[in-house]
Amino acid sequence: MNRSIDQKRPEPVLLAPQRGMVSALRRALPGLALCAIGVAMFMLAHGQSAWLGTNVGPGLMAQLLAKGVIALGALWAGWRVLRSDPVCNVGCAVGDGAEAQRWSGPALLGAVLVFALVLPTLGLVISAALAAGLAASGAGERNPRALVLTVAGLTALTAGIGLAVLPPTAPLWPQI
Amino acid sequence: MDLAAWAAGFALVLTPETLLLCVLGALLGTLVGVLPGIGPAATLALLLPLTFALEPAGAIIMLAAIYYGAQYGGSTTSILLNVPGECSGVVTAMDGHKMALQGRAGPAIAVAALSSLFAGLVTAVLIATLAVPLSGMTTAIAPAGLVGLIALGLFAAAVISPGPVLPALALILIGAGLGLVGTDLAGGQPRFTLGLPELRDGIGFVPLVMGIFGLAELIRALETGGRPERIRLARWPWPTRADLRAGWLPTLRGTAVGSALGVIPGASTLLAALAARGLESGFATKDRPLGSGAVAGVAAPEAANNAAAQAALVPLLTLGLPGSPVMAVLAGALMIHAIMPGPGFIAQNPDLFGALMASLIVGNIILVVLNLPFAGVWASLLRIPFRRLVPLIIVISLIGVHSVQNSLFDVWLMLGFGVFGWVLLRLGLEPTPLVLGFILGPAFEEYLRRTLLFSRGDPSVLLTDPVSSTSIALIVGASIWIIWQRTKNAALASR
Repeated sequence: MNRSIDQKRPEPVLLAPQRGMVSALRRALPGLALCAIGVAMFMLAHGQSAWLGTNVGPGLMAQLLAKGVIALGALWAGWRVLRSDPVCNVGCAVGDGAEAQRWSGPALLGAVLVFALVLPTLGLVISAALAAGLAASGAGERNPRALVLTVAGLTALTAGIGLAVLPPTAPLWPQI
Repeated sequence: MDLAAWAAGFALVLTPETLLLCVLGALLGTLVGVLPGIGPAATLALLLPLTFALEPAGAIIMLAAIYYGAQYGGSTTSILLNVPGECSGVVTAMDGHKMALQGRAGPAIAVAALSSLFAGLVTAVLIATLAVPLSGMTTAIAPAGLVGLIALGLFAAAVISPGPVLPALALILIGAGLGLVGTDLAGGQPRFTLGLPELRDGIGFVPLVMGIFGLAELIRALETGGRPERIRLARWPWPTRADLRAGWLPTLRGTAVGSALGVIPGASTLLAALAARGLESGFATKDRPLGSGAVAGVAAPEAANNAAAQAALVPLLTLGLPGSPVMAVLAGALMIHAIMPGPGFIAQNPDLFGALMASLIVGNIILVVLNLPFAGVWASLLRIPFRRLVPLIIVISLIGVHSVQNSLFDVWLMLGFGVFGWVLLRLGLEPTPLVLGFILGPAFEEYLRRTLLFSRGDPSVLLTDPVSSTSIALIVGASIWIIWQRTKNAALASR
């Protein structure tokens, strides 16, 4: 009985402004992120002098740029808060397409990470093969035969480019 | 240059040996330039040793052909894969890649080639007839004028970039800040390097652009499923009459803008491409709006960047000032062959100058004749399912990034910029302006410094210099116009 009364009870009035605040904060997030980058730039630029006598110092341009980024970021955040229409960014669109690959970000970034980690020991050709495998999986390749063929083809292409175009100093093969 | 000099130049270029060098240079340049990340300057540097054994005229003609080939290859990757091979390709990709996604990659590549050809021919004649008087005019532009021009370029970059103007401006400033990382040219001290010795030479363009375009944009396309798995290509792989009609006026305007900006030392091909695209936004496009796969969005920047690239020969040959990395490599190549570019070059080497001008014309024609039939072949790359194209782009980008300087650090930088670009995209911010700011920012600082040095710290010179004050007036006027337009649109929408 009590439960049914609770179900009919309207939402607490206090929740509406809270929800509005969360929505406003979400809309302001890109502008606030720009402000944060501007603050980081300013902190870095502050270590360099803006003027050397009457001459421009190494920090002037960076300090001006940082202030500009902070100001533009704040303006953008304020503008987005005042406008109530939702910001549709990449996050909004995730899953919209039939072939959307949710894990493509970590997989593609992982491919570059693996390439960077193993290149010094395994050489360009094998590193490229590993990166190709990861990138193909991240791109949604589910057919094992196609995956193997893609990796083999790209390994051959890397070896071909390495032998034909790159200078002889390029580390193509494992350092044994 | 009179008719006799033209005839002598063509007589030298149209020998079988020189023609062969031209064809070989154009082919090699295209093959290497098509690798994302390896732009014309890097291609020239890579293939420079091939010319050591040649006569000076043959070497320079081959280098010029390699350069057009690389430029053409760079445009192809911008259009097909949205991975610009060089900085001005960022502007071409805005509409060129959209055309490719609509199945019109062949026409886009062909329009790029034809616009470049037209601009190349016109600029070659312009250089040959007006090089000496033009060089005198360009030196009249003071550093303050260049500050104004670059500021106008940065503003144009924000206006033409996809997405709203305010965050685009902020990202341009962030990009300009990234461009400042490295050794301060004035003081010789490292700045913003976070103590990393690898950053003393600054952040490379290739890892930045590969991180943002080769990685972050790919992830976006995969995450959103926004790019079709297979692209159906148009049956006719070349431009239609409608495409040509839509492209010829933008090509003319792009050529005019590019050749005017190219002769100014320090003004880059990117600035020319940006200015040409910015100019096009003031005209009605004949096919579809700019930014949605308009022919004008390919024709104008391609004509402008080719015209600017060739016009940059004017300050190099007449004043000895290489206005771009490509011109610096060409200057180096000339010096290897004991030829000093600078005042007196044309008077002392009339045959070589004539041959170079003739080679600009012959080389551009050879390039288009060789490559136009292959526009459809390049476009057919897009028939490969996207999930199989992704590993190809990743692997070629990784090879490109690592090979430019044989540096593993550049791969780490690419990863860092990939993550940064991905975060920006998830926040709903378009990262393209960041790359444009990165290119133009350091030049802006350099000329601002010179301006304030000459004026003893007085910034009012920016308002008294005619070029600078005109640029500032254009920026202010355009800002007011944009705000007025947006307010009017918002008012109409709320009714």
